[in-house]
Amino acid sequence: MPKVPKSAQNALVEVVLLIVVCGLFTWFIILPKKAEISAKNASLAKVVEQESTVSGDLAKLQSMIQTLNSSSNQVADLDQALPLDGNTVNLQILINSLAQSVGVAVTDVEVSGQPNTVVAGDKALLSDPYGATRTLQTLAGNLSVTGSFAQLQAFLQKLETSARLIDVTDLEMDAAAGGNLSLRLGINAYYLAPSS
Amino acid sequence: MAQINLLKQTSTPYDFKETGPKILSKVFLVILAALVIYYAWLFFDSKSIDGKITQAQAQIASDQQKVTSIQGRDELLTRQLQIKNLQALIAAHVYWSQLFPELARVTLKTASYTTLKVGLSDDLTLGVTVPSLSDLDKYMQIFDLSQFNQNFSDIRINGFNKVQGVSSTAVQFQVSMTYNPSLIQYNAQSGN
Repeated sequence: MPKVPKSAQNALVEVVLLIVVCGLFTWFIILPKKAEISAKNASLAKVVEQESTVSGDLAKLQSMIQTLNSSSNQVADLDQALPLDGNTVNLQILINSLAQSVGVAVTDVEVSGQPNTVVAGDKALLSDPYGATRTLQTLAGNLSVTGSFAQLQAFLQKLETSARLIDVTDLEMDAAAGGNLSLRLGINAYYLAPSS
Repeated sequence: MAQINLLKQTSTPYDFKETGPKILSKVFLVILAALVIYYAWLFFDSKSIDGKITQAQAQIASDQQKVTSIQGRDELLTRQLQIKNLQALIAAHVYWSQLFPELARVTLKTASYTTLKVGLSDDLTLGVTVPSLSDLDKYMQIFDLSQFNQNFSDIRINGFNKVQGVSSTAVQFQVSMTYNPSLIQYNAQSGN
């Protein structure tokens, strides 16, 4: 049996050691690093998706604000339908104007909102009109008008379809003087008031 | 005379045994070096991913800051709240004026109404005048016909009395009935 030279023996030991080192290096350093990178890639994908969502939301918000700024007529209609203040005078003016347009006589209008509601001169609100959190409030009222049946029907129709949303909660019709009819209505109108 | 070695050379196997491990050793050294280089690449890749994550997070924070501080956002939210509330109110909005034509359709031609009282409780109370008791009977019988009781039902007469008019007598009575709530809801055909 021929003898293996000393240098070859050393080389064999080197090979064995290198295999062990390569194995340990792969097992304890490379594979954990790869797992770490894989986890980081997953979280990067999540963060990128989140970024894309937030960026999309921002773009959508900008576009909506732009649309809002260029829709002043629709905003005016919206403010008329559901105002941002509890001013009862405007409602009474509207009712009188509707009554005038169909020729009925308003004999009584009474509208009441929340007691002690500030309806003008609220400096904090004026400086930041949209900053406050708002809730839906109701203005409840009663009104009585007199006229012919056709006039009362026309008035009721105008009230129901007016630009300001007015709900008729109850209705009473009676005979009135001069062959006319008297119509008494319970009404609710609404507004969005800042929460106190 | 020169001596020639005629014996078979035995150095070749010795050479392989000597050089083989050395070659293998070099191969594994190269593999180890490749692993180290690969690790270095993984290390820098990891740093690069960290950088990308930080950059994306910074972008998210910046966008979120913009979203909360963008001019007009508060107004937009208020308008959205307005629309949302208005949609709910419109869905519940009722049109009493739709009640009258239908009531007229189901009313006996000789009958006339003197009072009307109605609320959201689905009950309608009417003061009615008819020329005679037989008209009162006909007034009630109409509501037994299917084409006339779709929107008004459960007719209740709360007593009646004869009254003297200018030229003739009449019968006055108060009637309560239940109306169909869908009658006063939004009707796309009528435009209300």
